[in-house]
Amino acid sequence: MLSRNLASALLWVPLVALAHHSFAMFDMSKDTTLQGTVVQFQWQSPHSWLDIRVKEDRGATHRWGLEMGAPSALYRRGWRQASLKPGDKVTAVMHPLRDGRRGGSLVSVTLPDGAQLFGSGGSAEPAAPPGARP
Amino acid sequence: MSRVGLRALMLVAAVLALGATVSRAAGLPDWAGVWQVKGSMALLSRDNGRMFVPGTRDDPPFIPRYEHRYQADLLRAERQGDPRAKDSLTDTNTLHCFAGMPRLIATPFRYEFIVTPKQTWILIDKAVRHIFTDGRPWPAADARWPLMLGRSRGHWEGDTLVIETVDMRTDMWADTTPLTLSAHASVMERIRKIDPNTLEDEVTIHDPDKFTREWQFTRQYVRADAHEWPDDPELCGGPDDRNPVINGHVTVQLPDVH
Repeated sequence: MLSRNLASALLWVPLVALAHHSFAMFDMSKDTTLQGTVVQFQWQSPHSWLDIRVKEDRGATHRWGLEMGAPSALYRRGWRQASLKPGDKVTAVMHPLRDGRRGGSLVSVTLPDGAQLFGSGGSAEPAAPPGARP
Repeated sequence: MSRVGLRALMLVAAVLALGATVSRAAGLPDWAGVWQVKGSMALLSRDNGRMFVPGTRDDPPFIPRYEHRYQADLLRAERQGDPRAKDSLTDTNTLHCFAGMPRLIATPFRYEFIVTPKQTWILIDKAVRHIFTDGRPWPAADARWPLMLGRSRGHWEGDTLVIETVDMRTDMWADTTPLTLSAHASVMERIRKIDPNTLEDEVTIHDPDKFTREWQFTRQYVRADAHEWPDDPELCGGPDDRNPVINGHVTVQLPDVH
């Protein structure tokens, strides 16, 4: 039987499957929260990226790569090219990579001023709320 | 913007304006503007919530042999992001950086229609569908081969554009899942404006090799903000692409190795 992960990936974010690549590599059923410092914010098509430096439990610091949608989709959600800059302290929520590496699909990020922006994961439309049907 | 880019933009604007003017003059419907798909990008069920529940998914109506293969391919597709998986199946849109027909019926991109008496163009990101309405016959058998967009011709029934598409590639995913059609498949579409802000496309896919019956579904396009500037077309490859396809697998380039 098809796993719940693929089912949810195809059901709730069907747009991303066409926008460049499938997001099947991310566990869309799981949310992970990271607190870190912005290293780089790449505002580019077809996917923007937010790289942050995270201090993990044992004190070691690692970089994480968080994939997002295209600039046009992000812009509609309130993002701007200057929304983040290196050194900003942020809290990011992501769907983690299934292979355990330090990366994921960005769900949302809380900016230094407390404002929250939502990643579109490649979608041109706002993500469907949990439990909704596309 | 470069001079070439400005000229290209002016040309597109002129063509769109010309299309609207010609369609009005010829008594054809005015579909000017920018449109966006309403609802799911997956074509394969009227009720997407049931499509993964065994025994309850109705469409596409595969014969048992292809249903079995489709189920297996769904599992392989689930592993397409895992470089360690040897039997994974990667989305053909990722491999080719291009969607074909009938997948282009529902995408997240802008849709624009240029309607003229002898041809309608449907602009979808970097794809341009050519719908010939000049009464031309299909090419001779030895002049036909599979194409990403297939070959489309159409005619008008009142305000409805009736399109038949044939010669689609059999190796491309027909929607966001590993659904493929046979060489004998054809797609019939009936597109009409059902209210000032909605176009409706009634789709019937005929595939005598793979389906037990015709597969029918409807998609709607709703009016989008025509003043919004188009983004880049979907781009793949290049030094900024952090999802390169390596050995047939879409990969994720993380900052530690990027």
